[in-house]
Amino acid sequence: MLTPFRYLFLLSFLTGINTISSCNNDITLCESSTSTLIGIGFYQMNFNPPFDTILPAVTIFGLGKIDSLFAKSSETNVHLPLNQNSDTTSFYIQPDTTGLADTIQIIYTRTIHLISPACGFVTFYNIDSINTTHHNIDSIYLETKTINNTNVENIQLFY
Amino acid sequence: MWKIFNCFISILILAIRICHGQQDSGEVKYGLRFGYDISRPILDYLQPNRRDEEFSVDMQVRQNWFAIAEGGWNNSKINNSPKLVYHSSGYFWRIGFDYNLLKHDNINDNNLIYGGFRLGHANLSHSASSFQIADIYWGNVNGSIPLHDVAATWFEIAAGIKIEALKNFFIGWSVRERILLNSNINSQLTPYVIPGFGKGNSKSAFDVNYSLYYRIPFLRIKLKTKKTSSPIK
Repeated sequence: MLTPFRYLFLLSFLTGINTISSCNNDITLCESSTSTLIGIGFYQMNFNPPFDTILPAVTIFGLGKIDSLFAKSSETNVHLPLNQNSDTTSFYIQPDTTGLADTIQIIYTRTIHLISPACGFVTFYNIDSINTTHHNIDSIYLETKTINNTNVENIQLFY
Repeated sequence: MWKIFNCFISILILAIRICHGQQDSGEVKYGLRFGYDISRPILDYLQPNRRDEEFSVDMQVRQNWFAIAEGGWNNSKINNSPKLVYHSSGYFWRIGFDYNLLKHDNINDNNLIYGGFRLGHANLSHSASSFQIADIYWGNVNGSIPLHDVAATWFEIAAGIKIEALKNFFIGWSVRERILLNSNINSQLTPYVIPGFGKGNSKSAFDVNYSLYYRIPFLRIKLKTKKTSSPIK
């Protein structure tokens, strides 16, 4: 009766060691997305229904910052970082080299989440309200309030 | 006090004799079996950021039924500075029963193949003494989360074997599947490890235990074969 028991014991021991060995990756290897960016899509209002459009030379930077996030870049949608030290972030968006720029203001609440020891913390956001100027932007639509590490489209801008 | 103890022992002996009524005659040893999980030091060697200890005690209470209590503790330290410096410490207990599925040829065979269940509970304290969220555009975020307590309760099913390698000395393994029933985990900071359960970021956990046991046979009961009358032809 003991022989099959001992065989089972050895087999399970080896399986168990393998299981335990595979559990240590989360300290050294970050396998989840740590990017929590607001997704903004650009849409054309002249068509019914409106469809997404390409801004041919869009320039975007955060208000108060000198460095641009996009410079004369051709984009249908962009993902932008919100200020994690503030509850409000404003972006300057110029659709092309000749048109007037608009400013959009995003007001939100912040919560931090520990993804894993290797990935560390990230900030998740919940958008409370959005405001915009209307030099080129016709209207703005808040599509998804929550911003986490899935990076979906949160705001639709209609030109 | 002694009268109560004597009464308890008498009832236990009676119950054991009733339970073993259909078995062979002989001497059955009953006692507390103490166990130490040797897989925890191996786990600590493979994962130097954590330290775990786990002990158990069980005793046969009815034929094929074993009452079991398990307990232990965990300490975890993660120094992934500046991203995260984390510390947690806590303890746990589990109580439940195992049922032996192995049919014994004689009453001196103590090997077991068992299935069982447990109810587990853990308390821990943890903190993130410092963390940093990198942001190259707006600037890094630095912060800390002070020490706070977490409690968790879970249900688990277990299956395994125990073999008597030497007299009263057992070795065995078990596999466990745990389901978290209740906890007050803060979504900001999930525990790295819930002691006795597993990783704190999951609602279920699978585990393997390898244990060494020693049984202290404080009770020896002699059993006799029951005489049964022959059917009338």
